[in-house]
Amino acid sequence: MAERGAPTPLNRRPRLLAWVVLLSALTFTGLATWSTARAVQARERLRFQNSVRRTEDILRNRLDVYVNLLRGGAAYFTASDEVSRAEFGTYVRRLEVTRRYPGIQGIGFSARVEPDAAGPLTRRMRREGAAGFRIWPDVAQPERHAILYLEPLDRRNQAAIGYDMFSEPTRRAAMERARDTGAAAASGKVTLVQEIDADKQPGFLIYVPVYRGRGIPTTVAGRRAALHGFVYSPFRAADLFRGIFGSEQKPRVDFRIYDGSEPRTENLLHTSQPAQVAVHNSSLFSATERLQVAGRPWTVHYTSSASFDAAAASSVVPVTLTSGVVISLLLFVVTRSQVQARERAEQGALVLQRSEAEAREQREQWRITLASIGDAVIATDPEGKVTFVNAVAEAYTGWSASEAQGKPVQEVFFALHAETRQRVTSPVEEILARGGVVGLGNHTVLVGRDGRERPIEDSGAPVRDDAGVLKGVVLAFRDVSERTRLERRRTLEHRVAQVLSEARTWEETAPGVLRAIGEELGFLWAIFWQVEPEARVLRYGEGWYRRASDTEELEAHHRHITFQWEEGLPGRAWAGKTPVRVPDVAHEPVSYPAPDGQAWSAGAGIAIPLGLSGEVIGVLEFRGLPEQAPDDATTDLLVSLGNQLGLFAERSRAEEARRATEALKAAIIHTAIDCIITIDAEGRIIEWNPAAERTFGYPREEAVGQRLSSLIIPNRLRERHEQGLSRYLATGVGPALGRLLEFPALRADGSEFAAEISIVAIQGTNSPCFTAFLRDITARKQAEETLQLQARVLESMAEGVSVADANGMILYTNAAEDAIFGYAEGELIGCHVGILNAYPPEENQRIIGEVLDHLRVYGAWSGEWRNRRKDGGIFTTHSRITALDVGDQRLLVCVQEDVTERKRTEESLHYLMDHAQCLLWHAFVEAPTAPGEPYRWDLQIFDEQAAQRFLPLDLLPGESYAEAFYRNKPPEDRQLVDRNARAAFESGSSSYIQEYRCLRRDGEVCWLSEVTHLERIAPDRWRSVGVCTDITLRKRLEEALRQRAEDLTIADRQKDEFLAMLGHELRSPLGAMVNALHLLRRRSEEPAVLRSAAVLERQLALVTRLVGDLQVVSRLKTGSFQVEKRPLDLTEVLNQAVETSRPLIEERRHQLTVALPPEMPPLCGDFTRLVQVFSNLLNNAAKYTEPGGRIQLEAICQPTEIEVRVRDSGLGIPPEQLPKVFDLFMQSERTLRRADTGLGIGLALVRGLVEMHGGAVSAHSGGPGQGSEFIVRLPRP
Amino acid sequence: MFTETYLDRCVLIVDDHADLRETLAEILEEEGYTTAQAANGQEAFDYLQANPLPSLILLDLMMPIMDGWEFRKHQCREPALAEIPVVVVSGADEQEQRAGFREAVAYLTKPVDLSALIDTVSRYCRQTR
Repeated sequence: MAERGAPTPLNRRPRLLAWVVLLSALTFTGLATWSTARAVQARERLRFQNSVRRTEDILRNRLDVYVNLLRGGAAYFTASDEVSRAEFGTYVRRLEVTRRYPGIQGIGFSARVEPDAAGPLTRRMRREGAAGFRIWPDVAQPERHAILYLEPLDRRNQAAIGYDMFSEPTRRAAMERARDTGAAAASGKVTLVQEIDADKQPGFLIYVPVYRGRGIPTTVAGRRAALHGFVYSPFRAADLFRGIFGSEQKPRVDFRIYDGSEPRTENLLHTSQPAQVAVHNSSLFSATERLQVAGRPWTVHYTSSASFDAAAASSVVPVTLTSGVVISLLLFVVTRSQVQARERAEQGALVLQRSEAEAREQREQWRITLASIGDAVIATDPEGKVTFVNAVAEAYTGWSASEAQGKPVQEVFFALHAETRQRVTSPVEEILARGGVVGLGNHTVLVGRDGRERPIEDSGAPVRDDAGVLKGVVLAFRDVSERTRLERRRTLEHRVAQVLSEARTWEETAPGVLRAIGEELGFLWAIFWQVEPEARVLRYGEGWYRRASDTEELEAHHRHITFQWEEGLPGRAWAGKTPVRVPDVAHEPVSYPAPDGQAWSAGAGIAIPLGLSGEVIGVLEFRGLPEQAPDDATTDLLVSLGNQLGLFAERSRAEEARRATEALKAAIIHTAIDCIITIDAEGRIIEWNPAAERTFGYPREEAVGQRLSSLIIPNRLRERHEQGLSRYLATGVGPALGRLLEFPALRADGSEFAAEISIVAIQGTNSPCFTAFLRDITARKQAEETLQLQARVLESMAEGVSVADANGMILYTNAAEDAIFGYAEGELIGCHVGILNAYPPEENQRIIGEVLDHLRVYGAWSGEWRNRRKDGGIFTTHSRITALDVGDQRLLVCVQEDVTERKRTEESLHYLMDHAQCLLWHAFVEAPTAPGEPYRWDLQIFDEQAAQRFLPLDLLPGESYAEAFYRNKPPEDRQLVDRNARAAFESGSSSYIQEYRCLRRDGEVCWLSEVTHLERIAPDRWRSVGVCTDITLRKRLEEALRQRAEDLTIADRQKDEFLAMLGHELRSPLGAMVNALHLLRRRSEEPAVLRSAAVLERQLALVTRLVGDLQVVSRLKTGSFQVEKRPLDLTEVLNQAVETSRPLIEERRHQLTVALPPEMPPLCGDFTRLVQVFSNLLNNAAKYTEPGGRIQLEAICQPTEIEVRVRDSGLGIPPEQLPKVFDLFMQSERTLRRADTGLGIGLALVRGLVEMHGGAVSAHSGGPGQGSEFIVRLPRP
Repeated sequence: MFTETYLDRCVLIVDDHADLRETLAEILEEEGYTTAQAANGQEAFDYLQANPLPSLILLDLMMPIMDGWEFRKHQCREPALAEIPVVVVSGADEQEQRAGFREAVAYLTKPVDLSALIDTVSRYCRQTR
């Protein structure tokens, strides 16, 4: 009620109060908004700056890594004088560029090309497999370069091979800078020659110079002179930066990278904004930074990204402002409308309270925002007590926000200096003490509550109220492990590249490399364990120890350690060819050797194998504190370094070997007896050794620089030499290379001599050179020729020749000797002569002893010798052994002729002559000198005694057997023999056979058959051999046979005549009998007479038919029989035949079945003869069937013929007789035994007659007892 | 026609085989014909020179002294004799008989089918009884 007690003054106050309320509310809103906006902007700026910083770090680090990569490549070239295309390819492939270094287009080598070396270089490259290699563009300028290698050699990079980058100003500027400074140099913006597609990107290149000789020359002039080329990388900007930032989904900053120190559009290398996103013009923040990339300034313009701005825009500032103003206005209206001042005042206070609450809310929102940003943030009050910890900071420190609340900041934020490990003052304390913003600290390690360390960057800023009173401190920090790692890696790679570029051997390199790795990665010690291939162990090669004081003791200790295959960390890395790491070696199953009292037997260990081409040459082992166990990234880095080092070690070892070889080569060249001459690709002499001076008569200084061809090759061969050389250079084909050739060489005095030469092509740096090894072989040639002649004589001898030393060791055998004994050429050399003898061992000894004794006394021995061939065969030789003293050596020369064959032949011939009943002669025959004269024979009878036994001749006094052999032939046979020989000589035939007679001493005439062989040995001279055998017996037999055949022919003719006559002679009596019978029957009625007459009549008819058959058969045989064909009806023929045969069929009580077609087609034939055919067949059937049998006669019309079958159930025909049944006088044996009638002509007649009608007859039977069937086929007209 | 001229004359049988010749003559005579016989061509020729000409000659071919073919040649040379018909009766079959023999009125093979013979004879000769 106190308020009600004083209403009046309050009545005027409400209006004023309303305005006061509005004013103060607005003021408050403005203040709140301003303060919030400032805080938010400061925060956003900080975020933006952090993002810029990180982006820049990544860029710088990555590019540094690439530069180091190139430095490594340059070191690879420095380590070896020459790197081939294949080697470079291997090197780059092992670096795994695409995987480890995203965005890099490749690594290449561009060589400086000396003015006159372009041609040889081109040829060399083509030889190495770069078909179509050429240097381009083809411009005339004093200094030229060419890209020789570029790996990986994909389609784009292929396009760059051979390109002269020095011809293009932008590249040239970078190359010159790299050359003169000795450092890496990046080019300005270019379009790469790899840009062969439509999608062209801006690009740039980084060059690292490679100098000849060791290290980098100290002066610019020296560098220019020694420049060998550049190891370089082309970069496609878009690919590169996509490779670097590709993983970032929502970047906080966009950036544009410009080449040069000003952001000019024409120098734009890359923009991170994708083309399709609309350009974000009004970014909240922007910053421009300068960057040095391999000595080239770059400008990077950063802007906050669209997503960043969007996040910032949704901040609390506009909310604060808008809601404050609205509330103020509301307040004013409300206040004014309130009559009750107190109420108004009270309400105003309420609104104010609300407004304050909202402001608190806004502050809370701000806290939430802070809590959500990527950096760690800790806020304190002015006393340094923690008031706020965001989530990131919680994670880093290990303190939760609630735990940290109110704690002194140094307790929560515990930081050490990275190197000194001393506690560092937190920025908070500094800010509280000094009041200003504290910049980012370096080398600070934050130690978490759990003891985990992480390198951080930190910064802090004071928080003041409007009055500038210090209200607290905001501390921001972030984990820079990744950056540190990258930096460490960059530094390490740089150091290793540095070491490699300055050393030439692995031994020189190892200490520096171990130190660099050990120091940079913070290991306690590092050891290179070397593989001893012979012992199959790893042995201490080189070591580095962090604490110098430990070095001596530990090294002495490590020197005594060896690791077996798969033993310990190094042994496992060696065996597995992969890195091996353990968090603490104390847990290793193999006890790790360590000197007493040292703590080194524990700790994190990693072992990396060195060497790549299938062979491990050593293992690098590193030991660190247990908490320093290498992570994956470090392991990866170590493996990468291990690969590089392995390559380097391999190369340097090969180089060492080469240098040793070169030293040896120099010594050889100088002291060689052979001339050693080296020429370059142009054929000019560049090496001329003392032997060449002596041989050719030109001193070295005179010879070097001359063309080899004009100096030592005779005029006539020069052209060929030049052609061979140029062909090799053009095609790489050199038939003369690597072969031992002989050619005439020219001395200074103009004389020629025989030289033997072998040429080797040596693939030099730019162009090949050739080394010739040449020797004067004049004397050797002469000796060789003599020897060759002798050898040819020896080799062509038919006799075997062998030479043995005094102990019987064989030194030489000729071809005949090898052949005689059955050995391969040269197989007997070095054998003892004893193996050739066929005598038993004890006898062998004795006989050889005797021969040797004989040789000692007489110097020669000859006789027959029993020998043994390789295959065990025994044979006899006639041998002559001569002892020959050559120098102080006594040689035994044995000439032997295999007489086994000769002896055997002689024996065989004698045996032949004695037993084979033949006469052999041999003759030389000369042609007559004038026509008509006889050939002159010089005929030798082989073994006259044997001949005399074979053919005893009456020899005249002084007459040879050969002469008698000719004389004792009948005159006509002598003429025959002469005629045959002349014909053979004149016709050129080589052999002929003749038969002639000879008068024996006992008066008998014997027949001889002679086979004569002729061989013309000169135009008018022959050699002849004859073999005569006695054919008297054969001749007699032949005569008897001939007589017999003649007799038989006559007998046959007589038989035919007889048969022909028979018909006539029998027919007249038959006629008389028929007539008489006729008369008898007419004149007598007596039944007995008539019965007899009937019998006579039947028999007469039978005889008449037989006679008729005989006549036909004989005429068929003589060919005088003809059938008369007329149209006829076969039915009539068959009926007639049945009638003819009926008497016999009925007599034997056979059942005859006749089956004829109703319409018989007309036929052409001889009626009588066809009746004869079928009646014969029917009679045959009746005759050869047991009485009461069945006979079938059947006619079948076929399209082209009529088939008549006569079948019976009779005796049948045995299969073997079937083919013969139609032969004349052929009868079944059975019927003969049964003494049946018949002449065996019936079937022969049937066949003859059927064939006369153009038909055929065949017989069929299932065998004896199975009946027979005869089928006659007659052609239809 | 010579047939008319010689119809009632005899049949001359020329054959060297006496039994045959005589039995044949006997059969013909029994049939009512007059016959004459000759043992060979020469005899037959002689007969023709000395006797009235026969109406038919039955001629064997293979005969001594003068064979049938020779006889025929002589017969044909004399116009008076040439017209006398000849029937060849021999051991050869008709085919053989025709070869080298000219214009026989019939060719018969021994032993002769007597009914065929009598039929032939009846065409050239008249029975005298």
